[in-house]
Order: sequence, then structure tokens, then C-alpha cells
Amino acid sequence: MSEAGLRQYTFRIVEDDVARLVLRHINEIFTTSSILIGGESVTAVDAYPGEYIATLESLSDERRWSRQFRLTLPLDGQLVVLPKNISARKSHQPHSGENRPSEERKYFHPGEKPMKLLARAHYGSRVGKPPRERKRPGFSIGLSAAQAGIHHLTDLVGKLRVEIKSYERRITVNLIPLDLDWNAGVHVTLKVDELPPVVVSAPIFSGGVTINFTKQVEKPDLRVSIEPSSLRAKALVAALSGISADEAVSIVEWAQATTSTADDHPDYWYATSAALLLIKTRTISTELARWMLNLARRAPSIPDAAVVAAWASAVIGDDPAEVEDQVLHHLVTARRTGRAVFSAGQALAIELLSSLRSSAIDEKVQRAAHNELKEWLLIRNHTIKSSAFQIWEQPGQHIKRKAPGHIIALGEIGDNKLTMRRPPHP
Amino acid sequence: MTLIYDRPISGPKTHVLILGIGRFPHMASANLGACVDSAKAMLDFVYAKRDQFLSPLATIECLISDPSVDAGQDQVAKTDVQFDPRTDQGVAAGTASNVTAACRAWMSRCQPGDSLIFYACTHGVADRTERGLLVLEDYPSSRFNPGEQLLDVASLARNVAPFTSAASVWMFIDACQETRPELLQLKEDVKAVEPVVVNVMQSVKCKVDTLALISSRFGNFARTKKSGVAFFTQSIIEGMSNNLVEQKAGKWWVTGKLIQHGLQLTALAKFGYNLEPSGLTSFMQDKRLLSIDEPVVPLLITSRPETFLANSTAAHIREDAAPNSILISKPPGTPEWRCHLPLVRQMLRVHLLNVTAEHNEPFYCEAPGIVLELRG
Repeated sequence: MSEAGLRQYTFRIVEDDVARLVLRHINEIFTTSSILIGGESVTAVDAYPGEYIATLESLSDERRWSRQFRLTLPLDGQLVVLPKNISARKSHQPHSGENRPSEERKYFHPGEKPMKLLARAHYGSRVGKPPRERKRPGFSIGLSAAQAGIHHLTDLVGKLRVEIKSYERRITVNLIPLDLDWNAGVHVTLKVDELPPVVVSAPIFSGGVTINFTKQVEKPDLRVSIEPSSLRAKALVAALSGISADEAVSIVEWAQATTSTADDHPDYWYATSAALLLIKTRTISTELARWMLNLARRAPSIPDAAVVAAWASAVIGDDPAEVEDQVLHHLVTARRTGRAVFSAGQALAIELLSSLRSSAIDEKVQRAAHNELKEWLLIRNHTIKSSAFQIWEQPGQHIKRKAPGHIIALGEIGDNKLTMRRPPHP
Repeated sequence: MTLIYDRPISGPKTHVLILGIGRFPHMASANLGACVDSAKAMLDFVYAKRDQFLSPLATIECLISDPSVDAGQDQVAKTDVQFDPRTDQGVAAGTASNVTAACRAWMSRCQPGDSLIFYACTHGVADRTERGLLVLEDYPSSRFNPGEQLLDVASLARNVAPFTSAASVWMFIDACQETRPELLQLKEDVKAVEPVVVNVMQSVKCKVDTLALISSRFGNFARTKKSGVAFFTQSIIEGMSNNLVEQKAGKWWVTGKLIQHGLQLTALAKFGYNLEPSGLTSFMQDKRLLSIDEPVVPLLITSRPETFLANSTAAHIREDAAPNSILISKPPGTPEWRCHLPLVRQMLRVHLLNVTAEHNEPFYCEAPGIVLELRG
């Protein structure tokens, strides 16, 4: 367990109800509990990945119910905290345990052992599946939005993927991973129509994060927006939304102002991401280039800042031979400082080195650039490829039919029973 | 080098360079007719759209190495009697010297503000630094430096825009990025053909991104049949003819963004191909390539289980607002339903009738295409 580390899982029950969720690890080594409030609110619970016995108990005075089921909290193979969504949803169709349809009896046997239940959920049999007309919204535990029966609703190509799950009439917003190698405290706010906004931590791994909104929406003019909740997120969100050159300059000027004043805690990460954004939009004035060079001096621990400085020195330099030396020096410094945090930083460094390798005046610089390029490529190939900037580096990545991750269980919570069904084909 | 179309135009214009290299005298087993067929298909496409480009088409330069004929016999049918400067149908072959000269001529024709389009279909390899290298006809005629007959297309993509001051540069390369032992084992860098090189200062000051898409990822193959149009080329022509569009200033435009992000979906929905293109450059600018009057989007409908769709007694696409309307009906019996829909940007509905039940599936009709899976 220690090697896996705590992760944050988000739970939600949809109907107006209040319930207590108790998660008990099957090996009895970890137990946690939380109160879930119905509606649109979500509750974050820190837990270790693994197999749990979950108990969901209603705290409502009107209808008391409780469920116990086995739950797998996914590992996802990462060592860093990764937010995941688990939404638990009560059925909208009330029916009592006594009047339970016989088809569902076939599918869910009261008193069935949790392990058997889980196995059935995973490998379930077609025989016991409830007929289609009885299919109701249920709860899902998901790592990915790449489900069947979806379609793209907006033209936010490469930014957000908004889907209506056709069989549930639910809106799913799949926020693609931002351009970070680690969770740098970047939060964004997602808004769908007039629904309450959801603040999420920026996803950093290839699965992204999926936010489910439970509203019946079929209209084409669905308004979905993503807003930065912090300065750090501002540049990255701008990268997601296909920013214009003028907008990029305004973002950088803001970053310039915050890092140039006597601010006690200037956010150099924000400034670096803003500078990368500016380079990407190819609108670097001499004045901003000087600020970029200064940024690298003030933030020597950020490798991407050195890449920014390399780019800036090429913009303001006069003597080609001297510029080539400076560029190479900055890029070597960047690599020695550490792995570039932003994939855009990597891409820009590789672009400069590729150019130096073939065009440098001095053959020594050419050879050094060639060797340095191999180092950068080696690092890049061992980096998790997931980012907002990545959509420029590897077009089309985000619309793969099969995204990493999979739905591990689907089910319905009704009165006195939990019905699980086979997950969609991954 | 052979100019096969030369139309005098004032103002911004588009210059096209097309390479179709399928004959390799030093590696006869590598001969591939699909490269030539693909190049000719692209040629037909750019000629057909000559007045729909943002900057009208001015010139087409074409090099062909056709494996079905001997060297020196390569031909391309005349595109336009009035503007084809050739006396016969002959074109030059895609040898290293010809390709270098053709690339330089193509760039020198470009005035500031013009647009450039480069298309190539041939074999491709990649070296240790993950460059895309195109195999030219006379590869490997030199045992001392095999790179002499390889075109460094990544370098071309990087350097064309700063060298020419073009308003936009579009490069589509249908080739593998296969890793070959003879290149990987080289101690030194592969000295491939680089028709133009600019220094790093010129490179960073250039304000124009080049859209350069290659049909494969590093170390992978680009798939094609022995003859006929290659899958990537087929998809890009289809997409640029019909659905990779955005609405700008009241017209539908094929844009860089949609080409980048919609090509895979187009290939999947229209042909069932699973393409994995990659970019040789970072491209994020808002550029328009050509306009389309009446775009249509591909629609792919499948079902799980397959019999759900195959055994349906009737299936129609209807307007969501007018449930009795029928836009298109499915032919009986097929487990996959592929069709085209006019790009109406409104809610439509798949209406499916089975023996036991009725199924309605709403979807929003928009570019670049729609892939739906119905659940039985």
C-alpha cells in the first residue's frame, strides 16, 4: 500500500439524500468514511487503491436504507495523487424490494457474496441482464470517458470533450490533461450551462479527468466553459482554448508584471508557462525576450525557464555564432537542471537543437547540438505524454477511440439492493 | 524537375510540389505503385480545387518515379492545356538531384504572402534523432553516405517558412518512419539532403508555423496497398474535400486545426482506417487552406451487439425537431452503417426499429464527423 500512496476519489450521490459511506479495505488495513450529500455536490475521500468493502447507509429520516458492496479503487499505475470520479446515484424509479421484477432476481441474488457479485459485475452473464426498458441511471466508477455510445457535442476540438452518454442522458466533460509532469496546484473551474461549477485539480496523466453532470440535456447550444482558478492555470487554459497572439501577449504582460514587481512570492511557474505560450504563438518582442532572459536568472530551478531563455537569446542576439553558443549553453543548463516540466518546453528545446545541428556555423556546436538532441529525445521518450500543449505536438491524440483507462463497474442502487452490470467494452 | 501547371496570377497564390516515388532501382523489392497512384490522386485534387484555395493555385511541380515504367518514361496526364508548359506528358523522376532542385525551385517561386503545399508519397525511414527521412529513387546508390539519397523532410518543414516568408506552409507526407539497422548503426549523423537550411536566429523570428503531417509515428509504418491510393492520402483528400471545415466569415474553410484534429476521425468514420499521423512541427495557428461550398460529414454507426443494427427492420436518420422526416435510410443487413450527412449543425436522431423494440439515438451533426455506437 505504501508504494501506491493515497489518492483522492470523488463520490457523489445524485438524489436529494444524505448517506454515510464507509470504505473498509479487504485486508482491514485501512478504513475511511465520509458523508455524502445528494444533488450536485461531490465529496472527496482520500484512500489507497485496492479492494474495499463499501457500505453506503442513508441518513435520511424518511427512507432508511443501506447497501454493502465490494468496490475496487483503481491504481492507474501512478505514484502521484490523481483525482478520479466516482459517482453514486440512486435510482429515479422507486420500487420496493417485495415487488422486484423477476428479471432482476436473476441478475442480483440477495445475500450473494461480495466476491461473487464483483465477478458477476466484471464478467456478468447476458442471461441475467435486465431488459433494456428497465435500464436506469446508475452509478459508475470510471477512469475514462472513452465509452461507447457517445458523440462529440461541441467544436472545442482538442480542448474539452463533451459527451452525452446516450443511454443515460448524462453530460460528461472530459478534461484532457494539462501540460504538467506533476500536480503543481493548478485548479480549473468547469461550468456546464447553469449547473453549479465544479472546481477540479488539473489532471496530469493521460487519462485526464471526467466530470459527470447529471442534467438531461439534448440541446446543441450547450455552454461548456473552462476557467482558470489560479494564475498558473491561466496560461495552460489559454493553451487549451487556442489563444490568439494578442491574448498571449496580454497573459505574458500580466506574468511580467507579477514577477517584475517586489512581490514576495512571484509565481515563476505561471511566468514560465506564460512565456512558453508566447513562444508558441510566435509573438516575442525584444522587450519580452529580455524579461524571459531575466526570468531564467530568477528561476534557475525551473528547466523550462532555461529553454525560454534559449529562445529569447536567439530573438535578441545579433551575432549568429555567439547566439548559437548561448542557445546551446541554455539548453544544456536546462537539461542539467532537470526534466522539462512542460512538454512544450521539451518540444521547443528539441526544435532549437534540431536547427542548431544542421545550421550552426561552428562544427563543434553542430556536434554538441547533435549529442544534446539525443539526450533530450531520450528524456522525452521516457516522459508521460499528456498535456495541453501535446495537442500541437501529436495531433489527433485526444480523439483516439480507446483512451487509456476503463470503466470498472456500473450499477444501480435501488431500495434494498445493489444491481451491478457488466461494464462497457473497454 | 517538371512544372506541369503554371498559371499567371497577381496577388497571393499557392505553389504546389508533389512527389510520388515508387521505383527504386537499387532495391527492386521496394517498388510500390501506390506511391504514384497517391501522388496522382493528390494532383487531381489540388487541380480540381485550384480556385478554392485561400490563395488561388498558381503552379504545380511534380516528380514521379513509376515502377511500372522504365526510368525516363514517367508520365503524368496534362492537367490543363492552357497552363501546362510541357510539350508532352513526361515528368522528371524523383532522384536526389531532381528532388533537391525541385524543392529549391518551389521555394524560389514563393513570394512573401504566398502559400506553399508539399506532398510526398514514398518509403520513409527515421534515424536515431527521430528525423523523418524520405527515401528517394536512387537510394542507396552511395555506400559511403546512404543519406545522400534521403530527403530530410523534418528539416524542410522547419526551414521553409523562415526561408520563404510564405503566409502558410502545408506539408502532407505519406511515408513510414521505419527504423533501419543500417541507419541506426551509423556512428555519425546521417547526412540527408536538406534543400534549405536557415540559422537559429531566422528560425525563431519566423512568425509562421508550418503544418507538417506525416502518416506514421516514429518507428512505425504507414500502411497502404500495393497499388491504389494510400490510406493517409485517401483520408486527407476526403477530409479536405468534405468535412475538415470550420465556419469563418460566413464560409466553410478547411483549416489547419481541423486537419490536425479531424483526420483520424475522418479516416475512421469514412473508411474504417485507424490512422496514427504525427506532426513534424508544432502547429497552432489559425490558418485557412481552402473553402468548401457544401460540406458533408461522415457518419459511422455501429452497434453492440453487432446484430442489433444488422437485424434491425428499419433504420433512419431523422431531424430531431421533425421526427417524421427521413434524411437517409440504412440498407438492410449490414452491421456497420456508413453514410454522409450535410453539415447542418443541429440535433439529428437515429431511429431504429427492431422486431421487439424501437430505439432512438440523438446526436449532434457537426464537423469533422460522427461515430456512434448503439447499444442493444
